[in-house]
Amino acid sequence: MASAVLTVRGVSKAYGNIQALTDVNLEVPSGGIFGIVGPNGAGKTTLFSILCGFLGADRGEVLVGGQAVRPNHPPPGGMLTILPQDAKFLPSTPLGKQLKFYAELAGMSARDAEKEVHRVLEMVGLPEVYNRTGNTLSHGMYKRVGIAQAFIGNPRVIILDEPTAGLDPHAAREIHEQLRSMRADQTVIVSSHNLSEIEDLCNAVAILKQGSVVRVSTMDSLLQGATEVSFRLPDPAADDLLAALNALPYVAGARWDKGAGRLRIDIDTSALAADEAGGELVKFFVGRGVKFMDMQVGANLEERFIRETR
Amino acid sequence: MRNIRIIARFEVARLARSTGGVLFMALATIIYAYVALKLVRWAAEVREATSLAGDDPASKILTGFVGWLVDIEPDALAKMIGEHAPFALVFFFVGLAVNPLLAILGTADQTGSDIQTRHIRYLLLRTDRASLYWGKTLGAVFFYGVAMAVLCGLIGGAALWGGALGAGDLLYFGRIWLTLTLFAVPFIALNGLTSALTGHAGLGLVVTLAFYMVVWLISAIGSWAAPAVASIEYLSPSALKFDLASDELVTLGKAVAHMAVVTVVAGLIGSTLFKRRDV
Repeated sequence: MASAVLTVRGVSKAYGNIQALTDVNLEVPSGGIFGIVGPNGAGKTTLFSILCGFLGADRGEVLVGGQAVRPNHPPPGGMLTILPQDAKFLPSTPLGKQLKFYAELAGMSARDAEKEVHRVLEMVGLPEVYNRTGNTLSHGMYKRVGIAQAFIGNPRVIILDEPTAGLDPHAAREIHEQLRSMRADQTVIVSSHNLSEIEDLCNAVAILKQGSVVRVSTMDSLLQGATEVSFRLPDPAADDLLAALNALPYVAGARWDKGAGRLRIDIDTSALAADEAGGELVKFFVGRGVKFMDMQVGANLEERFIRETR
Repeated sequence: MRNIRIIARFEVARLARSTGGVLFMALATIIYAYVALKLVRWAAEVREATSLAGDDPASKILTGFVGWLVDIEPDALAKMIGEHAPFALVFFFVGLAVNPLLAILGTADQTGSDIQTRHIRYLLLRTDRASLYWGKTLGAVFFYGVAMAVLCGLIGGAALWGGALGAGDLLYFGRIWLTLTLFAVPFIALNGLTSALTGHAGLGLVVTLAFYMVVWLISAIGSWAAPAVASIEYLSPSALKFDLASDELVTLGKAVAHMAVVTVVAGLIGSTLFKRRDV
């Protein structure tokens, strides 16, 4: 794993009697996309606010690029930017002028700032909003301008709190493509309720539950080590199909998951590895003329998430 | 310093575009235009009524009454009347009287709406809190200074054109502009403090107005019970406001020093609060 660009050590934060974060420890490696997921109220936004120095932690410390961050001690210039979940632009000032202001604050000359604003607006596909004010934009456009401001100056670490919430699928896909095309030395930390988005985008993920980190893992290791193969079928699995599956030597058990609409097959990995069993099961289904829409080896992030946060 | 300059420049434009800024300009224009119209019409009468040349009892009574209103000794006031155009002098006194309200209304929203809407989160990873706080304070001072320059320029020009002022009085009008701008500074500092304290534009305005009114009420009413209570008025930036029109350096110096102390105290408390608060 690459060296950590962001380190959280023993951070706790309470709002009165409500404990928002409890002894959070986290290391985000340099480069790539790191996901943070958790149920509503798990503490994601509070954690982001502490990472940026907007809120002070009651205990613990945050290091960004090796430097401690706390209120009135922001990260080094050009190091970190954020798309906050609920921040607003000024209502009466054209967005282009606001973005130029941010770029100048980040250290650019007026001329460079102007160029940078046009670059980031082009990047999010909204060059025409330069002279418009925020209250004339749709929710999706507003969000994309927020993402554009986070990319001003190409910071090393970009935090995106729910970047695609409320976006249509086309806009969300454009954002995904943009994130994938980032420079290798840039790190993006993303939170999202869309777990397939996190699974699709991220190299590693942390799962938060009730203010604590319950799991930090690379996406590969999270999804591997599997003992299960599952299939999405158009119709519920018939009893004779389940009986035939249970008779296979490498199958420890087969059952129909009504809620997920999937046929779940536990593999006896002492007989066969899960990924090899997947291949054998495909042949089995084709041989019996059983139709299926997809196959998945191991649990996906959503299933892991539900297990970890139950 | 670079970021303070950038923030101050942006703040002037932001305030000028904001709803509050537009309403402030409209209100200030109406007040000053009304006063100017009245003064132009009555300039001759004012000059005649306040003239000491005749040394008549009516003039003495009037001078004494105006002196009581603006808290200036009748002799000093009589001297000022003799040296400055009545239009300019009365405009100066009216300006000093309405300046607290205009300064509070015009510059109430410094960090308040930024904190309230969390716009501040776009800024704080690009600049430090001290630069943001002082940049906004400086921007509010520039905004108010420009607004007063426009109003004083228009009214001074109109008075010159209407014959209420002579060309020689324009320098005094320049002093009026500078004084009204500097007199706004402690109120701007007070607004900065309440903005940082409340994190809300409207609430900050209410707290500033409440502070101003409470200090005035306690000092005015309390002084009837115990004269020492009257000294509470020194908590208010406007305690010595009419002394700012004085031509005597010692009196003027005391008033400026009082404003400076209030500005520094409010500024330091406000910036300390802003540096420590959650946003």
